[in-house]
Amino acid sequence: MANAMQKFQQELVDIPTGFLTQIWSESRNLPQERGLSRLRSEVRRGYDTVVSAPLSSALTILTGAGAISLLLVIILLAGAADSLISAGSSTLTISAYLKDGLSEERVTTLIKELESEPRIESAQFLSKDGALAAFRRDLGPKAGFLDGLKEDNPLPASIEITLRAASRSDAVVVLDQLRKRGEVADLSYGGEFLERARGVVQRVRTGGGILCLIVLLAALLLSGAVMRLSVYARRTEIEIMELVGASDSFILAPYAVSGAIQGLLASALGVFFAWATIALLPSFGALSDGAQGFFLGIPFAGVQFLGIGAVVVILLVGSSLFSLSAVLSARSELR
Amino acid sequence: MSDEIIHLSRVEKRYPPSQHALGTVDLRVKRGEFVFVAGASGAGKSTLLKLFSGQERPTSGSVLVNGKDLGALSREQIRAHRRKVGVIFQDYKLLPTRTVLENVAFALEAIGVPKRERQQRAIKLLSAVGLKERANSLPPTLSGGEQQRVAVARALANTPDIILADEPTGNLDPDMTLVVFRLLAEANRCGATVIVASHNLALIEEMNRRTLVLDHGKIIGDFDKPRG
Repeated sequence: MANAMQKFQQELVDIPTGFLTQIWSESRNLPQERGLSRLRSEVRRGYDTVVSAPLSSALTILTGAGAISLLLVIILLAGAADSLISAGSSTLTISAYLKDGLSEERVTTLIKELESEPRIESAQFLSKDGALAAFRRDLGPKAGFLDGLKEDNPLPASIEITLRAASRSDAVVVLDQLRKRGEVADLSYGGEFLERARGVVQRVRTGGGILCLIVLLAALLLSGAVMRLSVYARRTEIEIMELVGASDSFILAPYAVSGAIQGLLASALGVFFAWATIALLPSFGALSDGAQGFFLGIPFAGVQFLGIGAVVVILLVGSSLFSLSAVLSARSELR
Repeated sequence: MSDEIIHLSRVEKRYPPSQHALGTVDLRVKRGEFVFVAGASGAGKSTLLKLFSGQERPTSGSVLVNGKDLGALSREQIRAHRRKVGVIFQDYKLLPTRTVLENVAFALEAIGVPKRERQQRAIKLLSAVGLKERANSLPPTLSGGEQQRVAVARALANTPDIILADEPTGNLDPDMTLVVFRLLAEANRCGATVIVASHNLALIEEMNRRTLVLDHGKIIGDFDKPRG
């Protein structure tokens, strides 16, 4: 060791004497990045954080995209079914089949009474002959089967009632009133279709909601775990940053930016996947009886996709949530 | 500016549940001193250095560094304190995926120095420690001595008031040990207070600087230039 110290004292190492004096005197007050330059640096560091761990970044983005697309598809289908119900309700008609042998006067009185009902838009009489003629029209070329019925028309006369209001309760009230009328033999209305559509909406909402909740929960847990892993992999970097005196905001900034970038990409992919699913649903429904059965009554081709405003909101919300999640994960590593 | 840069008063440090790392330590270090902290493994050397850097807070007593009671500072205030402290570890703690230049510049990046300035300064520091030619290499491709010189350059980047080195030459051969101590001595000559934890008694003896001897968490000896 004495020999080594002698070497040390003789300055045999390849370092010039007084090498630090200039550096020391040069800048005790180092310049600081501010404003736009600082922002540019933070964005760059966030971008580097994403690309330096491509696998975990891709996993985070894809899990997020899957959850977002599933959520969107369920919301869009439920919305479409709601529109369908509204459309059905607004054009709801009731056919009141009349007993045979009613006098013309009694029928006229009945129609007048019905038209005076505020919930009813119109009430139109369809005679037995009119009903048969309409049936013939519906049968088209096969109408010849009805030739034998010329003398004995089994179809009843009816009053076609169109409701004014678009709510289900109106239909129920009118139907109850009609059932009490002695002139009416039977009733037929579009309620069966509405019940079916409501059933679909209920299934979409309940089943889809539960599925969505499970997938969202799994996606959040997985995304959070991947983010924590990514942060954990950089714990030495965080530790060194702390040791050299970096502020919390400086340490967390790249995670906020990388989370925002991942969230933006996940949201954009999620919107694209949802759009592709909605676009493919008509052919899917046509191919699968099961799918048709489940979604019976929903015209997939008519599902309205999101407007540009809604897409922008989704991108912003997704970006913010991912950013927050990344910051919280990184914050847990700070001491 | 006070002549005293570190003042420990009745400092104790315990780790739960019952580990007594330091017990009733009183210590004063003057600005610009070069101090060795000697002692066996587990004597409390690293804990003492961590108290100086603010990585640990005392269980009781006060740790005044640059006139500030570190035990009473907030996290952000501790970070501000660390900007004036350079830390060197036995295992270097370099970022393996960043180049040598980026590792040195990292200390400046972390305190918001603009890219151009930090790169210029990092190049100068690498020249000073004789590693300018390795600026674009990754740390794992460097020898232990070279990696420790990068770590020293990083610790010097902010022209710190205090340099804390925890067994900085524990993994190095004698020649590289000398290089590292040469760098620390130069920083000391420039005005930095240097505190080195080491169990290399032969080297401590040869360096002939103030030496604190720790045993079981207590200072059992404080020798100012042992060889007079």
